[in-house]
Amino acid sequence: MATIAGAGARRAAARRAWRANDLVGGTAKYAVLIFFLVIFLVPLIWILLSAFKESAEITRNPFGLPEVWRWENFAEAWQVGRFGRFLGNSVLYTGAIVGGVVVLSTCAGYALALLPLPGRDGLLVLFLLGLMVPFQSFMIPLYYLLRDLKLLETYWAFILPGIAFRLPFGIFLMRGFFRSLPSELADAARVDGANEWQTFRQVILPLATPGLAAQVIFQFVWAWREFLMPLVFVQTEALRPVSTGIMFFFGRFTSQRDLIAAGVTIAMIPMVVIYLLLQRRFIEGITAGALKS
Amino acid sequence: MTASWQRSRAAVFFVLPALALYLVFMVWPFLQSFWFATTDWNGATATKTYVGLANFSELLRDDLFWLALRNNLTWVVIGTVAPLVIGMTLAMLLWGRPRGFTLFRTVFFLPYVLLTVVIGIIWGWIYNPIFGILNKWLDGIGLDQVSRGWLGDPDTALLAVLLAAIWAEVGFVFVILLAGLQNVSRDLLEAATIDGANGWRRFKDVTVPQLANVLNVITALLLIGGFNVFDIIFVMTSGGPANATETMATMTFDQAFTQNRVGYASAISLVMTAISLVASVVFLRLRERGEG
Amino acid sequence: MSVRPSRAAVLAAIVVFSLMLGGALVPSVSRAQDGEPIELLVWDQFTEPAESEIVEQIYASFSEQNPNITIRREAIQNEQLRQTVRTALASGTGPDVIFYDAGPGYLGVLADAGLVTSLEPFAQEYGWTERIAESARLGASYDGQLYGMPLQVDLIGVYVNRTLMDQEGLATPTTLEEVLTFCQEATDKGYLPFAFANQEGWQSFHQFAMTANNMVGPEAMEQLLFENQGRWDSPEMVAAIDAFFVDMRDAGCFSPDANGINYDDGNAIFYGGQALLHATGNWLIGEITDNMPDYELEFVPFPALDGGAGRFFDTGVGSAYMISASSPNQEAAAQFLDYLFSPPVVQRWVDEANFVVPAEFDLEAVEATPLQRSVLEELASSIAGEERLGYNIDVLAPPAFNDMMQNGFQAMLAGDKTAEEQAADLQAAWEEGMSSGTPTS
Repeated sequence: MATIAGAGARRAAARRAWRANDLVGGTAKYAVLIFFLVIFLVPLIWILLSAFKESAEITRNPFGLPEVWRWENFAEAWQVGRFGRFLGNSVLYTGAIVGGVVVLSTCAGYALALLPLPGRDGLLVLFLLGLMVPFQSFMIPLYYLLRDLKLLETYWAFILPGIAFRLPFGIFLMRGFFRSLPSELADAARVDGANEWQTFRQVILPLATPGLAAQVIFQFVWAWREFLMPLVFVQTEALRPVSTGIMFFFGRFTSQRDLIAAGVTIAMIPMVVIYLLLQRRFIEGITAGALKS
Repeated sequence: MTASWQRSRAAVFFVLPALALYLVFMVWPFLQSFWFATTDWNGATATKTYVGLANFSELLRDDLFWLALRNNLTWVVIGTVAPLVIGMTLAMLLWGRPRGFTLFRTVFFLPYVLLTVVIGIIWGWIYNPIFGILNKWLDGIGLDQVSRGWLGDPDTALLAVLLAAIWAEVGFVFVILLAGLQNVSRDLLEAATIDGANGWRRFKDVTVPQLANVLNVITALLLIGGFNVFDIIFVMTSGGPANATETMATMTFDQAFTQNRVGYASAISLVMTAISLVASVVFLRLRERGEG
Repeated sequence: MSVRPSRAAVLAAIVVFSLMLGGALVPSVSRAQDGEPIELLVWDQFTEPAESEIVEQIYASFSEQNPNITIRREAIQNEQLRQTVRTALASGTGPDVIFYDAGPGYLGVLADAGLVTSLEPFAQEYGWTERIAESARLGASYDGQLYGMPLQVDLIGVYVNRTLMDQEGLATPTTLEEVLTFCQEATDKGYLPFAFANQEGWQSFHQFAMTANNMVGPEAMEQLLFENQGRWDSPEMVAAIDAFFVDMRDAGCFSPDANGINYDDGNAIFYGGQALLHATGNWLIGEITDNMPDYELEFVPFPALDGGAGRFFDTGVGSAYMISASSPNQEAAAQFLDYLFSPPVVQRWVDEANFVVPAEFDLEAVEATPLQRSVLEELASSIAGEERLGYNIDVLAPPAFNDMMQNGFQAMLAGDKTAEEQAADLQAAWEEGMSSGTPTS
């Protein structure tokens, strides 16, 4: 009895000490947090404010509010930078790649997790390899393959390899989710006379929603940010996504800083807005994706 | 019998589309890389002349390759340690959702959703010797002799690009570590406190071991990323000045697509792939042994 | 049991097939037949707004005369064009016509890889040989074949902001010694002496061309560049390298951050009157005229070096129009090139864009500022063989040599390399380029 009471008292004391520590450390903790807050925000705010200024004012008055809010910078950047085109292309590429990866990897992940697939272990190793090799390891022959298939400088030159490159990750992610489901569920459905497709669609798929959400978010961020693939495979201006389009824009208007700042802001906005609107899901998706696969 | 045969057949159909695309657009070109690397192909002629391992032996004698490899190693070391340390610090500070949690988390992760070119332009401006805010700030605090064209000085260019990359990457590491911390048992920590363990020991002996899996995943990702880094360097310096930021990946791109040396570039890309594969496998093995 | 599972397979097959089919449908190949509409994709480097406008108009007037051919134009910054041109041409679905740097390091690389069409048959057909000056045709040829139509002959020298120089009582330096004193005086008065910027690295090619030509003289340069007689690591070449990349660097003649400043920002420093001199080429003349209406300007040869051959402007073929070897519209592309170099259009290039086209044009009819006229006359007299000019190096050098200039001079500016080391490396790169530069059969 006495020992238990003693332990309880010690535990309470420890808890108090912990709290005291927290209080002492509180100021230091917020100092560090705010320091990093500034580090992450200042560059973005600087660019955003610069986007409303004149070129000369960006140099003269880097941190102040714009003397005049020049909204027309955005209109000009939008027009001369052809951002409508680039953003439209990005939406198309991202939609096609995310859609393709989600559909194909969900099916494949299901088969690899829950069905008696012949040669499954070999396939797993094959896909694992794809998870680990960099794009550069097959970029050069792929370039000539796409050329021979007459796909270079078409939308497909980014979409098809874009899907293939992200499939291994997608498959392992979905396989991880399917494996965490109780296998009796599928068996029960089969006993009820459902075929494999019905079992998959009506029983398994609804349960995989969290996995699908993580998949969509992860693939979305990747596809949107993909740079080297479109840089090499789709160079025609009309086909460029915003990730490479803005590079050529920057090259053309280097010294027109107001235009560059406005262009950079335009290129940032879609993703930042989506992130801020969906930020909890976004972060959950990214973490689940990174850890589960 | 028929039922299980049908299930196998269904499984094949489920996996086939993904496999087909994967084989055609990834596995096949990957295998071709080995073939390309043993030729002196310039990307234009109809035939590719077999040269054996000549590209690889040339690589060993190429000073630029060793410089690139050294730059990759610098990138791997700093680019792995720094995000881990900063990410871990931030995650520990926000563990237990203190006031302002959502604001901090939102902002810390924000740079990760930006396009690489956007990050490159922003940081290129920060470092700009004419109007960059870094020099303005250094001048402001009396360190004007330190200010310089950060991307134009071969001594600082690599670190300057690396810093931009870390800025963009920390949020990702932080968010994952934060999620990992949710599974760390507070009871164990309290017990350790009772046993008289100080803050550092609690962190080292109780928190970190419970995060081992998460840390492994992140470290492996950062390692592979460090050996393959291309985008941010291409955008900010294209390997310059004076090759100071050349990496294996920028060298591959340059050899393949501006110098006509497709065979040689394929050899570089394979060496790069091998190094990053070996590094991550060795790392994971070492971790396993350390734990087992 | 029914064979229902195959529904999944059907679905999957549809996904894959629609992806494949869609791909096959996209590239539509147009044939150059009479009247059938043709679209030519043209990549050029005219990114400056004023130039871009003129080019746009000239292309449009071609389409007016040839209603079945439309021109789709994409302007790409020179540096980025150098990074992407090869992949774009090799794709087989890239641009039909490109406007790209001439010389073995650029055009030669493309010709060697079979990416651009030999223009010899078209030159016969359209009589280009008579129209274009021989020296310029040589500059746009590779292995004895004409591959490009040279639009610009470049002239490299030093822009002087006369107004500010007079205002500050400074004289234009004519020798290296004077340059070094001038740099001190200009710095004391709060100016940057030279608006030299070298982030991209090619700017250093021209500085070296100026000091090298002034040191050994155009004849020796010609021997070295065309006949491979002479060396890049001679004591004279070392002195030429030293002059700019050591002496002038140490005298503060340009920003110590030159490696970190890009060309456009360097130009902006000169436009804004913060720098007094700018050693670069005549391609900037239009922009300088537009951006510096309140200043009087001169264009002079680079100062002489001790023991050197004198002061020379340096010239070379700038960029040239080429036809992609994989373009299905060879005839239409040649028709387009022919138009660009037809006498009335040549006159427009000179009049409106101030390009010095290596073809006949009426110098008297050109409306130009005194600065523009001085450059035009200088080049016209050299094309006519009346005046000796030095040679721009990079447009005549193999890629390995240019690579060494780019990285080696950046290292020198950073203080990491000596002139002797750089000269030795340049010689080695030259020999490497000479041995591998000749295309194998």
